[in-house]
Amino acid sequence: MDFGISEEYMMLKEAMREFVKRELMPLEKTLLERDMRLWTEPGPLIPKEDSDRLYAITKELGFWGIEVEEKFGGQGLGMLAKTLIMEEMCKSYVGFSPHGFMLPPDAPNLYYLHACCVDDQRDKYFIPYCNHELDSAMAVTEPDAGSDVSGLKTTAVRKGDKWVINGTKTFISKCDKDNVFFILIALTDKNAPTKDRFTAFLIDKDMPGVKVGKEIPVIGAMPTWELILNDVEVGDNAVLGDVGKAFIPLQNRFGVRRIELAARCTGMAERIIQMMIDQATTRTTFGKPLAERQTVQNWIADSTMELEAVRLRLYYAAWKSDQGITDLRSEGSSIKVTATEMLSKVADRAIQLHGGVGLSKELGIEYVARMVRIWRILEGPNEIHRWTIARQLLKEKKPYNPFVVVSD
Amino acid sequence: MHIAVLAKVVPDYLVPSMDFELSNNRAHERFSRMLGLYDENAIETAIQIKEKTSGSLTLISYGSENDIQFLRKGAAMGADQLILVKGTSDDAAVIAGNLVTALQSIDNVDLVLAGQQSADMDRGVVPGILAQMLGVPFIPQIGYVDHENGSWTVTQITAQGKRELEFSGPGVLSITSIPENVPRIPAVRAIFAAKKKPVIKLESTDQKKMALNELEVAIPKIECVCEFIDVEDPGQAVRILLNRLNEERYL
Repeated sequence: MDFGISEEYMMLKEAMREFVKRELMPLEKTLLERDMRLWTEPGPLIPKEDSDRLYAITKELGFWGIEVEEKFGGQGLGMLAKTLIMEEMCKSYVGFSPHGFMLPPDAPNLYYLHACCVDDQRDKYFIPYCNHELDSAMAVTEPDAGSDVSGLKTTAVRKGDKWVINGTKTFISKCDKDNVFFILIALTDKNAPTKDRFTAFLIDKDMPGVKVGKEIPVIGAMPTWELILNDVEVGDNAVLGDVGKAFIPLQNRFGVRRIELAARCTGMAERIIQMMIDQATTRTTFGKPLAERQTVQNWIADSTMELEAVRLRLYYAAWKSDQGITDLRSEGSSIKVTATEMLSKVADRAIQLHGGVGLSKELGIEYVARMVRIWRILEGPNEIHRWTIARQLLKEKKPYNPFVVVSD
Repeated sequence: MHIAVLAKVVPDYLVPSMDFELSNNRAHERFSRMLGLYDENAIETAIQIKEKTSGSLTLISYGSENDIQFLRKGAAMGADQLILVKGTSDDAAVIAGNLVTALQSIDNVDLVLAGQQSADMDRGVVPGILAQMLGVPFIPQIGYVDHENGSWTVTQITAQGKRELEFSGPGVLSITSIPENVPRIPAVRAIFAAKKKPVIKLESTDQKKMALNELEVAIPKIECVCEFIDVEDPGQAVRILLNRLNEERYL
């Protein structure tokens, strides 16, 4: 087993670290201040002129589409390279928050669109998506259906050569963006078995009958809206993939998405541990630095052990993806659960270690704590992921096998 | 146009001096290593000249083979090849002599740039000794470098002001940091291309050492002495503070 890292990967990390230092760290104060006003003054957390500059610089440096194949304008460097870069970027609140700055294009949706877009859908959606001219949002969740999709009530009914879509989606992101389109899941055959019951549609925000409803304030920065569909008429060219097969291509989207989410957590955990070390070595109480208190030492040691356990598993999953292994359900679920729960604990200890300052909106650890609380539910609640892992093991009646033999 | 840049790999210069630790009179090996601060300004300056004149750029260093991974950043920024002279001496004359050997192993160097001082020893003497060995002009603390009609125009920048100078033929410049030579971040493609650029390793040669002995190396202890400047107006407070720092020879 080889745990070495190449010079190139170290240089990639260093290049991103320098970008973070020069461009993202100076915007942290802006992000935290904007976050406080988000519900009374909606809008992006980073001013447009700043995010435009960040997009231009990162494109020039070649940070766009690290894991995306070269034929789609990416760098084709794979998931391990992407993971290392994400970790560095997520050591700043701006890179950590998906509502701060994200490197385009969003690869999981890109591959989903690539697998499913046909004919004029490629020109209308896929190519502009690759070029960062269009953005996409998934519209699956409804008031009565989340992880359990069998409760979805939005229907698409055949009428002549059209589909007529009716229903209400909830917790849908990016509804404030002008250039967004939705990948919407609707019921097309209520009598079919669950796997053949739903179809994916490409829905434009400005189609007649599409209405963005009220914004739903939640615990942290996760701007989401209701999306209401009232007699929205679309043709067959809006069907993404095959009728009745909405969820098959979606499965492939999840492994990569979860690697990226876990990298956000490990990157930020490293930053927070650094903050804990800095505070412990400079703050003195009752005549001794915090660093000499056993409880404080335990917080730092436990946080480090938990971070490194997740990090090795994360690199393993990314490496496995780079070996061409696409079934990463178990790995994706396990890093999603362990990374989000690890960062929850690390952020909580860091707040405790910093005392009153830890609670302040100025320091920002509380922003991380709220964000990661969302992530224990977003992308599938952690309990669903535990179920996924257990179900596979119990079905195969064997413990997990991590070994992949590499031939010379 | 062929530019050579002299660079040194040094211990992490961002470590605060109160956290710094010595082992055998040098930085403890636990500190990570990197290209010197001003050396990166020199590389950036050289790349800008290279781009303007469609020239080539060689990065030369004296140090250990382990330094190559850090010198490679210079290649990712835009150097075309690396030359490492393998050696461990800290003697400025020995280093300069070995760098001259490396310079003489490549053809037609039009200009030699170096950082104005290394980030560890802070001496700033190697480029001067080297220029004397080569028999060419040496100009320290240069910010701007321009090449027109076969001659060089350079701007020397000090705390007090600046001075413009002109010379023709080869010369050695030590480069200071200005907003225009902030080192570029290497692009992703360039990082992967850097590994394919040639690395030439040379054995060090015997050189005459300077006639001096190192007796002691120490890091000053940090002491906090607090003094209040009892003035309301911040502008006046700054003026008083500057005067005090000058009087006490901190600046």
